[in-house]
Amino acid sequence: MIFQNSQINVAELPSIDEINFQRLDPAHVRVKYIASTIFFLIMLAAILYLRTEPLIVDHPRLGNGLLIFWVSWLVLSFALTKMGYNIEGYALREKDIVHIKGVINRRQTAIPFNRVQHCEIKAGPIQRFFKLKTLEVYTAGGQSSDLSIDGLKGDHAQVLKDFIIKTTGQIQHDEEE
Amino acid sequence: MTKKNDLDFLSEPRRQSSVAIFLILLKSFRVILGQAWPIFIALIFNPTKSKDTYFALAIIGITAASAIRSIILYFKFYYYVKNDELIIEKGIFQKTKLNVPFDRIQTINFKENILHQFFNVVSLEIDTAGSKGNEFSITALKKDKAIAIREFLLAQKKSTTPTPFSEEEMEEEIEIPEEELLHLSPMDLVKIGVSQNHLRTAAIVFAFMFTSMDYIESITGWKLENGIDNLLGSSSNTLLIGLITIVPIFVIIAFLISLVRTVFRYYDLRFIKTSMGFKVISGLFTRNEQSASMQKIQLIRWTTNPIKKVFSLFDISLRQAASTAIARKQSIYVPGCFEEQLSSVRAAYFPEESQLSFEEHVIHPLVIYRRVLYLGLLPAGIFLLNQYWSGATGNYFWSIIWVVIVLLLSWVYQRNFKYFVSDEGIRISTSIVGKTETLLKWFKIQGVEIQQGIYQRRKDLCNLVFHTAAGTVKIPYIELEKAKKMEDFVLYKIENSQEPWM
Repeated sequence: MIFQNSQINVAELPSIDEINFQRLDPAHVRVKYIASTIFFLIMLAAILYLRTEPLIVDHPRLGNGLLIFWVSWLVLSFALTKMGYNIEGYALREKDIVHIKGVINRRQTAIPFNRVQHCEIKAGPIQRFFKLKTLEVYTAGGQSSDLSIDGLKGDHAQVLKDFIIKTTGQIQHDEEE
Repeated sequence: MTKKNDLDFLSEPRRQSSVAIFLILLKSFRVILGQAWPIFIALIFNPTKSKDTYFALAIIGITAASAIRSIILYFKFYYYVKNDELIIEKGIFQKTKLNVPFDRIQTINFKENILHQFFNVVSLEIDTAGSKGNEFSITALKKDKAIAIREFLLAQKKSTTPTPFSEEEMEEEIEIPEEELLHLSPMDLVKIGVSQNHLRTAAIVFAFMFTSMDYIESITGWKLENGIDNLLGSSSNTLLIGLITIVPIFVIIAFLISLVRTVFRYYDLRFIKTSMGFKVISGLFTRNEQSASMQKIQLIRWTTNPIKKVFSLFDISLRQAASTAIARKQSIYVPGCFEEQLSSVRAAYFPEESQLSFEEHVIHPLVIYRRVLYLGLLPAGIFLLNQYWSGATGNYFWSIIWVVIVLLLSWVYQRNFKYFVSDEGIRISTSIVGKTETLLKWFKIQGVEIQQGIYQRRKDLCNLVFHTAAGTVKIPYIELEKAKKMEDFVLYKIENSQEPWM
């Protein structure tokens, strides 16, 4: 076997530090707010129903506690959504895609194109209303390293996908159905 | 792709061996039994309950239905080869047609249990490592046919996989005869059995007993809890004495279980180096054969523990690309290897390892405080709060002992966590009681992640995670600057690599 080992100047390697991350579409925050609102309304209904239960009627502090819990979770959730939007971003480089997200635990994931198995574009009902798409990038062997970028403008997601597929140079499985 | 072969039978749709009917039926029985065993127990111990007779009737009905189902399934199952794809057609109501292009096939495994051996058939399992987990199997094939198919598929795969190597290099790949690296003798099996992690098995037995106690009680009407109370004495003063008597019992039970399990699973284990990679055959009743081509192996990991060290044994696992659900099945696991087999495996996976210089690094000591906080102080605090609320006079002693133990173990963890970086790969060594080492080549990585919690951001630290097709490898509490440099370098190595990584 021929063993090559040319020296690499590590300082000259392209650094992720110098990337400008693209931010998500502003409508993404609205999508998340609406989804959270629906979730919290259902939860509120459940809490209000629970408050009619004899056990909680007998212990009003418990009922109030539930409401306080609901309010604080709601405030926290909306705040985190807003803060998360300011942090989340993605960057497309010549040979890889980098994604950053997370308010409390921040994760920056980089996936080289020559390790991508396939891509998918998805959109939930609320996302469809705002014409937003989610791009999912899959690698082989399980979900651990898969990347999912929410809140992309419809045509933007398609452009990204086409670019990745073209660069990957792999046979693309058509989206299911 | 014209190949002269005696595999013409593959070109037209074929059924599997008729033994399959029987095997499918048996499998559905096993599934039903696995789901419904409490009912059977209930029937045995409580035959009067009329409700259960309906269940029994339902089970008989299901049994009959599954018998008919397995016969139809057999007649509706075809496999054949067309246009460089292996095609399987199956299904009664919902017809399924599976196309597997040859170059997507990751591994081909044979499985024979005692029944397979009796009928001289094997079950053929093919994994494609897609994210959707679309692995599939042919339940029963005559053994010679299965071997022919495997060889055919492997040969096709070789020719369809685009290789960046030049022609001469391809020709250089002469079939190397199979070389047996390891053959476990009964004595070795005893050693392996002895050196298993008995505390873990004891914990599993213990947990199983406790969770199933209610169940057994409700079905049989036995009062297990009373029995245990009588055995231990119900006052908390004797709890400690009870623990002292019961823990060794569990350890002995666990010891026997591990010994029996070891013999069942690893009886007559043969670890073979083939021309393509490695192969392991083992088992007393169910003979398992697993093979992995070197290209598919993503990382290798070897572990030892104090007892194993006495025998100078290692457990080696070769992790293959696979979807998570079957990842465990796909990693070749060889217990009871010696230094000799280990170095042979390392040389096969990472030939340059012995020639490269590796730089030694350690993780940041702050990891100790974090571990003590999350694993030590937090549980101890909850325990104390609970004590306070329940009105018990604070039993600080155990909390303090716990925190001290965690502190000690965390300190050992940080001291022993080392990673060795080279131009082509990384070796990570961790040890608290046992020792685990991982060897990973850069170009096998398919994603690099930097994780940072709030505390880590303040201290400019992070966790560096390498994702591979066979699982993740994590370095905790590494300096951010270092992690970023490594990320840039690893990405550079991956993006410039032309070698097929799986």
